[in-house]
Amino acid sequence: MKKHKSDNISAFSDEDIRNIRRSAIIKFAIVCIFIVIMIVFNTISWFTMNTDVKGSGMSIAARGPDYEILVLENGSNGQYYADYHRLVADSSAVVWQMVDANNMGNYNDTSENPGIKPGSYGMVSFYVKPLVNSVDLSFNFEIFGYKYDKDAANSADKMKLLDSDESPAVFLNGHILLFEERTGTSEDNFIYSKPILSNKDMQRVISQKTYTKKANDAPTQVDIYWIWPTTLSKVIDARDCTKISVTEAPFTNKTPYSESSGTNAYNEVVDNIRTFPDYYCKGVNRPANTSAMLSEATIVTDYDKYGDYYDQADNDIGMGVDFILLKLSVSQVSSSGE
Amino acid sequence: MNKILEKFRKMKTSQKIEFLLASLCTISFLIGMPVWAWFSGENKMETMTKIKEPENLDIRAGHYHSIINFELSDISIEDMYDTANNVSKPEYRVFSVSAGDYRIPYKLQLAHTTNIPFKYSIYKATEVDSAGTNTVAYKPIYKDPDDPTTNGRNYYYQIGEEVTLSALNGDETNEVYYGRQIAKNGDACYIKTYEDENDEPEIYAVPVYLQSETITPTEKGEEAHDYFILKIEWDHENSATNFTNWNKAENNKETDIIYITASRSTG
Repeated sequence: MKKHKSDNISAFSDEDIRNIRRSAIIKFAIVCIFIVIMIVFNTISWFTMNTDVKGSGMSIAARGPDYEILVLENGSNGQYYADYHRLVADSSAVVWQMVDANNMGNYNDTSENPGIKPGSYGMVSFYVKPLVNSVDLSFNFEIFGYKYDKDAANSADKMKLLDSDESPAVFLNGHILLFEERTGTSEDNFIYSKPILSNKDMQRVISQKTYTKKANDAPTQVDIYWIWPTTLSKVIDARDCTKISVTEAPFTNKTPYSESSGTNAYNEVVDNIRTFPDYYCKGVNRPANTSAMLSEATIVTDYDKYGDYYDQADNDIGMGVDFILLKLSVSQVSSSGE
Repeated sequence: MNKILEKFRKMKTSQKIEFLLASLCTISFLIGMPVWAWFSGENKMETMTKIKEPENLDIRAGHYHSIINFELSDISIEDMYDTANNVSKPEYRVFSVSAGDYRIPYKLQLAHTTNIPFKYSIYKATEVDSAGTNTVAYKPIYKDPDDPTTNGRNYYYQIGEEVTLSALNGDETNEVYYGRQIAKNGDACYIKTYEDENDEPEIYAVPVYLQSETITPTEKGEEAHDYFILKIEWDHENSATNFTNWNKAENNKETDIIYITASRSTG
């Protein structure tokens, strides 16, 4: 047998042997390239999934082709309601970790009964790190309401996603407000600007925001201010109402963003109330067209009624919604440079 | 398995390397695919928080029964003082307050008109199993079709410490003369309520507003309620001074309105 085999090998010409060797080298090179690629991917995925990466104080929450979104890291203590979140968590989304000074009433500290109610406010933050000179990003915030059923037989049924078109979850659109800017030093004098308001699809969108690469790749901090107004008079100026006495001024900024635009935060929110009164007030239907919209003057004149409808919606949220989920989706619009 | 190992041993060194590299490549590929899918789809993050329940303060009758069981109309004034033996026979009524899951501190408020020279006081109470010294019985008047066990039975409450009530508009200087505390005429409360100068209410119809200090709800778990007892006395001694005829009390004589409220307290 051995001789036979040897005879076969000796039958190859030098050219054949060179081809065989060349072929083996190519195969080997391909294998090496694959190995390198896999090592790179596994390293990145480890880094991306790991929320405990020390050193920078941040961990990557999301990544696109030309950007990274980072959040402050806080290990496993960052979210108080993690056990409930796990029941409904989107497997393709990263858990937005919270920190002491920067949370949504859900930081896992020693305080009892965290959570939010009318009058609660705060800030959630993330960081944008462009990987090219300039990147335009869109941010889409959604708030989902859940009712918890502790008696449900299996864990999948414990958290019931509430229909966002109907009471009480629909009121989350108008009662938990998000803003890009806030000035002032305390709850008494906070003034909010650049509202991120729910549109007809119940999505709150910052459509296109440009971020440029900073020195040393330093990320840009983005703060989103959230507040659950105690009364409708916090967003609509009802001090002229003669039926009841309203003394509070709105917390939205009435100063125009620029001389040319004339738009201001106050009007943006009031317009949203007029367009989508069903987000704010219980029992008030959305107008079929522009001419059927409530005027600001009507809401102020009848504030005794509309203020009460707002409070009733607050109560419905409190009685009918146990948990809310704030989801942020990031998408890249365009980029430039390297 | 042994066969595979045997085959592996028989391989040439170059074949062994090729085999190992191919295996590694396959495994990496299998691991890499889901990682890549997760990685490329990754552009979302989310956080969950809790909505607190509305901070309700509920006032209910004894044993946390419906407030319909808190009944004052059956008080017989004529039986509240035993003139022959000179003994006061006060009336007691039990009510309960629930401060909800969040245990909000609150104040009790009592407002009443002053036609009848009653003295009102409030005591803390605890539910006990049976009658005893300083206990008050509460019997629900409403028959609950869903809970027949409550029908016709008594619940007993031990009288505890008195809740200090401060009058916001009490006319203390004339208390002895009138035989009870009536409301001040013309103070801030009066002006705020009767600011129209044509309002000239009869002074006994002006309510006296009384308020307790802040009460911290009892921690007893989710179903905890605070129990209180409203004590209504005939102020015999003082009323005898200037209004002797009132000692001969009559049930049809006068009517008073009493409000008991619990108010959330921030301090």
